[in-house]
Amino acid sequence: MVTAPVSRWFAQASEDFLNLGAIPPDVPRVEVRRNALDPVTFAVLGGALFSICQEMDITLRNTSLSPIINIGKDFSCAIFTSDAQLVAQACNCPGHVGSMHYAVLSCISSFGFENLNEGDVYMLNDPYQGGTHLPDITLITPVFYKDELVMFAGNRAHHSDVGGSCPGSFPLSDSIFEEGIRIPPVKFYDRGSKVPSVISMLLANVRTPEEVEGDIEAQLAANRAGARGLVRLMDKYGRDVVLCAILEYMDHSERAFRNSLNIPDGSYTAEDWMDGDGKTEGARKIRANVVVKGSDVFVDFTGTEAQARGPINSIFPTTASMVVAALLALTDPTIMPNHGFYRPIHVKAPSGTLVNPTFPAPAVGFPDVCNRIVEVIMEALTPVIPDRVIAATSGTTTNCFFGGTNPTSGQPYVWYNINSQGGWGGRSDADGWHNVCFIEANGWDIPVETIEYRYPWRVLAYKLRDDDSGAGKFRGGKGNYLALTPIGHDVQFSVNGDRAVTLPYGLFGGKPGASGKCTIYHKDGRIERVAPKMLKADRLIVRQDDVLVIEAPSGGGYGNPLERNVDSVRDDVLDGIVSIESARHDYGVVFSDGGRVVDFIATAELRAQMFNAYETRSAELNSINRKPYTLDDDAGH
Amino acid sequence: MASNSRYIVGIDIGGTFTDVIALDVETGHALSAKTPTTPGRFVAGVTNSIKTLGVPLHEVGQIIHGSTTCTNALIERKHAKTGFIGTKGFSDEFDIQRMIRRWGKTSWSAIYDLHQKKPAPFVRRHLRRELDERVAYPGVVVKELDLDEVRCKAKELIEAGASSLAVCLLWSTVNSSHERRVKALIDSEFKNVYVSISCEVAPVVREYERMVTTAVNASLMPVMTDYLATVKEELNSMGFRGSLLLMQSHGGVADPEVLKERPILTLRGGPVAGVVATNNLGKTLGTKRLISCDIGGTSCDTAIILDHAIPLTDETEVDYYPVKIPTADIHCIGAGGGSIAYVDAGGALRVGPESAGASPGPACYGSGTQPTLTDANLVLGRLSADEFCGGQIKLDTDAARSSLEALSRRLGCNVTTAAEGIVRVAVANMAESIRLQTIDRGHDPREFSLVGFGGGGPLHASLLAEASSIPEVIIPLQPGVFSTVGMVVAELGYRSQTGCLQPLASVDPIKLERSFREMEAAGAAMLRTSSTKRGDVRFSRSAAMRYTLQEWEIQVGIDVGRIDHHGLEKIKAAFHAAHRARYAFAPEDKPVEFVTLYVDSSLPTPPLRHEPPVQGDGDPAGSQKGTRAVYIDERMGFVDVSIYDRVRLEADDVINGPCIIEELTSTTFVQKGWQVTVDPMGNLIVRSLESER
Repeated sequence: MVTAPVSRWFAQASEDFLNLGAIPPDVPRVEVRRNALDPVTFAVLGGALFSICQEMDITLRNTSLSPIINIGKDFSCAIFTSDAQLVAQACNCPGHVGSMHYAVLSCISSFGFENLNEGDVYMLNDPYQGGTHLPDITLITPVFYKDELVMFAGNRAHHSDVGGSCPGSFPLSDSIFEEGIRIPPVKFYDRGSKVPSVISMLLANVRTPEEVEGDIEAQLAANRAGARGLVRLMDKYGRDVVLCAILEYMDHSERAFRNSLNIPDGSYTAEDWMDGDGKTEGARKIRANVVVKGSDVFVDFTGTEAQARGPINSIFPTTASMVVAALLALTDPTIMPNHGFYRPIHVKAPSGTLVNPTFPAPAVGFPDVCNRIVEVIMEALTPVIPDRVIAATSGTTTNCFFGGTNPTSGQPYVWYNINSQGGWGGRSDADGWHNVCFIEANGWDIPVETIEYRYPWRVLAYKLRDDDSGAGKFRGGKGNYLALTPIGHDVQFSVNGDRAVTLPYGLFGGKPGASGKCTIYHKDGRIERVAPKMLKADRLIVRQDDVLVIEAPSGGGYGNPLERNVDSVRDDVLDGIVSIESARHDYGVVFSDGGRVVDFIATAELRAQMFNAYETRSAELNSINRKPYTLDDDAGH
Repeated sequence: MASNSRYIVGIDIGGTFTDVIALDVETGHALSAKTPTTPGRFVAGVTNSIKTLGVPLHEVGQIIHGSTTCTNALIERKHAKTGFIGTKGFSDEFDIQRMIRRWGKTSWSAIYDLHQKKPAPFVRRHLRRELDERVAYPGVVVKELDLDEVRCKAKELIEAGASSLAVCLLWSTVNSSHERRVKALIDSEFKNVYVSISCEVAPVVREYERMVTTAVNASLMPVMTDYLATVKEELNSMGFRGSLLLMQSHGGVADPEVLKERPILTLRGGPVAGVVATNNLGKTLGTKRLISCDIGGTSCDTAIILDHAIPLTDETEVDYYPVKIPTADIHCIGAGGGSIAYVDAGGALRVGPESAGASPGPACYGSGTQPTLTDANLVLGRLSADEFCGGQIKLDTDAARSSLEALSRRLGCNVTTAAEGIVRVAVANMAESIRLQTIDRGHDPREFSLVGFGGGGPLHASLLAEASSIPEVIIPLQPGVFSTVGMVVAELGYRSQTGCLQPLASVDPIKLERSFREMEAAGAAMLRTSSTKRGDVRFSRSAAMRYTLQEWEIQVGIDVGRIDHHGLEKIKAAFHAAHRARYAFAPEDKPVEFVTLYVDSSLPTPPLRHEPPVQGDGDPAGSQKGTRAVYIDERMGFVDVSIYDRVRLEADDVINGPCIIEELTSTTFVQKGWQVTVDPMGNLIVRSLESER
């Protein structure tokens, strides 16, 4: 049987809605005798499948070498059925997992199902052939049980460098060819033995061969752990029982999703904007129309801007992945994620747009579009599920890449900094989080002591931003402020941020969050604002003793700040989260005694006064909340 | 051994009962008892219970105690108001909290959940100050410490109301001089303020975890100091001349004087005793897969014991606050005999985590009115009104019944159904806790034995095993006071750690040997301060190691004698082997580095012997003491079941459930479908007949 290449799915989603749970008819599938499972076995197997993924996760995390993988956890581990359906995933990146089954499909279509052998491991990174962006290298291992291919174990991890024009492989590219080495599905292990030319070809093309080689070994170890766990499970419970439980779990997750969707039938639309594509400035529209029909959801991206010349394009699998993440977040995040709950979800993404680009459009900066896809779906559904959505998060990764040569060891290095994370939006019942990883991924920050142990840099400050943005009944969280200086050497620096102009929006009268910023304070006194209109730059030079400051966006507020509990405002002022001036201007709370004591009478008067003014301005404010915010708009408040 | 230190006494103070054991070190035999907890009056409780045993206080050489004072203070946030002093630019890490989303309801939901709650910073921003000082790796001072600034910032914090100060400066693990000078200044210039510095509390790399651990420790110092002062003074006034020892989170006991500085080491000191006792039992029985399950008045504590090792974790957290100290891995949930049953806003029956505690206690104790799990068991006939706690406490069945009446009206059912529902809900909560530790971690509960102890363990163990698919239950001797066995069999032990972030290739073996010797000397000093036992201190060295560029370490035992170049090679080989065993591969050509060094110092304890039961003929009739009506299930309702006296049971006796086995400290309820066998040591082995096929 010949399986069509994955590009078929991307084209199909352009013409009509693609059901994300659809199983490719041309993929062979193993026979499963379905018999009734006792509830204990069912429960035990559900936990065991998840814990196999967690064991893959721990193995990859603990044995890998680059901080972006072993601390930042920019990787994902999952297991799949023989026909490439997601069975279970570890607690990893939402952006990776909903897209990884396309990598499995791509291996099947490239080599032919019948040619996949025990002991094979496949590798790929090409976004147009099942990957996400080039730094994410995916390894897929077919899992055999008694000589039969029964499942797949897979993981993808973001490598510190995959070559291309820029250290860290995040260039302001205008085609994928500048972004590094492209790996179509290749056989990395053939029946248990390594194909040495694959790894030597790869390592010859990257700036950090030692890390990349070690990280690939860790990825291999993770897949081995996954395969071992699955075989052990089948030894114990029997092949049919395990495979049967997997199918039951998919039905279970589908049912759970449908039962808890709980969004009124209707058609809901929203738009939001990227600040630029890296090549040129100017708003780039992302538009989503969300139609709910019973327990099915149809998300249509028609009206989204044409694919960008710069690297912000999100290929179809990552777009689909974020639709899935948004809907799971807005429904019931405790549903076990597997292919079953994709079944009620349908996506249409016209070819040649930001959300379904065509080869050879650059794609390395897709995560920011991914963040925006989640937000635009939330914005669309805000009128019908106001308690479940949140105000805008930072909406960007604000990733930074440093390349240089360690002056002590003489070794070149590439450091991918993920610590510059933004604040999250205020919620219907609580403030937004300060400084939490963006929604497309989920990792730990790199401890300052680990940074300084590994890289010739000194961190001068790692703290919350000092701004008064995101006021609301529940305020937005603060973004991060990172200041650092290279020691004894000059560095090539690239940054991939957004929300420099279009601010994170507030909801229901909440104010927008603060924009992202990046500044180089040169040793000679010159102050350089980096790409102030789109926060994307590559290969800037930061010289020895220059100070680089990166400020990630803060989240938007939720609800009218005048309704914020006075005690909360007082606590924020005491803790220096809100200034006394902002307490007065945004929240109508007046302090006396140098900011220690709330003047309740003056506060009541001021709040009454401001409420009246606010009522007349609320219509205007609401409409601003639906437009791309700009710094100029904000200055007019 | 001098006659005035004939006994070692272990005391476990629960929310409801105080359990006590006295080990006669000359004979190896133990006496035990259970008395009601006297809240706020530790010594009254202790002396009462020791008196119950008939042991004169002046003949007690040691009292070993698992204190929950610090844990309670932390959970209820009733610890000292704590100020933090850190390096300029980094104290907001209290808010950043490592940036990852991980507060979801399930293990996987955190990545998507928009409404999870990020914990408040352990120290709020207005109680944090920063110093313009800086040390860099590998210990260079980049910016000198300014003592005037220290004085000024400390004063501000004290004026803002802080009674404890935590100090954590960047890179203090490689150069602690700044931290030590800050402490010296505060100690000498500010009276009545407690100070913790990170290089002493948790010398581990990664600053956020170190900061929080230090702050938690500082916040508990006054709590521990006040507590010890009261206890010691009262014990002395009662004529106690021996030494008091406290249980630590990793299962060793230590001198409280040491723990005044490091109260954080006692955080799991209460619940760990039961795990130590279970592990001891497992070694005796040769059973390798056990779940220790301690159900007391307020909580149900469970731990998985594999291959006779107390499960340790270095990723302990309390309410998501990292606590970087060696700790037994124990799950605690609020489900015990005193757990209060109520109907929630949605009309659903809930049990716990609120507990009636010792005062007022369950309704059937006579002063409370809210229905509890114990009231439910009494109404179901599973507890005896007259034989509870060996008849020391008379239970009031009418009071229990009337407390259940209001509840049953709200539920729209009769009292029996409400009581049965309370037990079922509580058992389901406990089963969920076990599921998280077994199924969620890939262990099949069907391969385990559940060791049920604590006042409520034997009563619920067969029900819980049934709900968790565990085929075998073990009820040890004197299950009601089993945790105290852990106190007296635990070794006097101390675990020292020190940072050593360095590639193995650049380590000077002489210096490494010296570091270990220093830690051993410190460990021995810690143990000897209070030790009345003879015998040599045993040391065991280990190190957290990794391949260069990895972030996560593996603990490797170091047993190479005096370390030289050859020894370093052996250590490297041991690391490769450990990495291979854990992850199924080891890149042996890659460089290796040290991160942290550990020394476990311990002193062995005298052995504990139990009098074995008389060999029987399999027929338990001789130990039957009557029958009573006990609720079995919906289908059978109340049935007259046999009641046995545990002390009269003989080895090899076999009894089919349903039945009740009563003894001084506990009541065992065996559900229908389960069968009890008395093993040669007197343990009750309860097996599911269903799993026998």
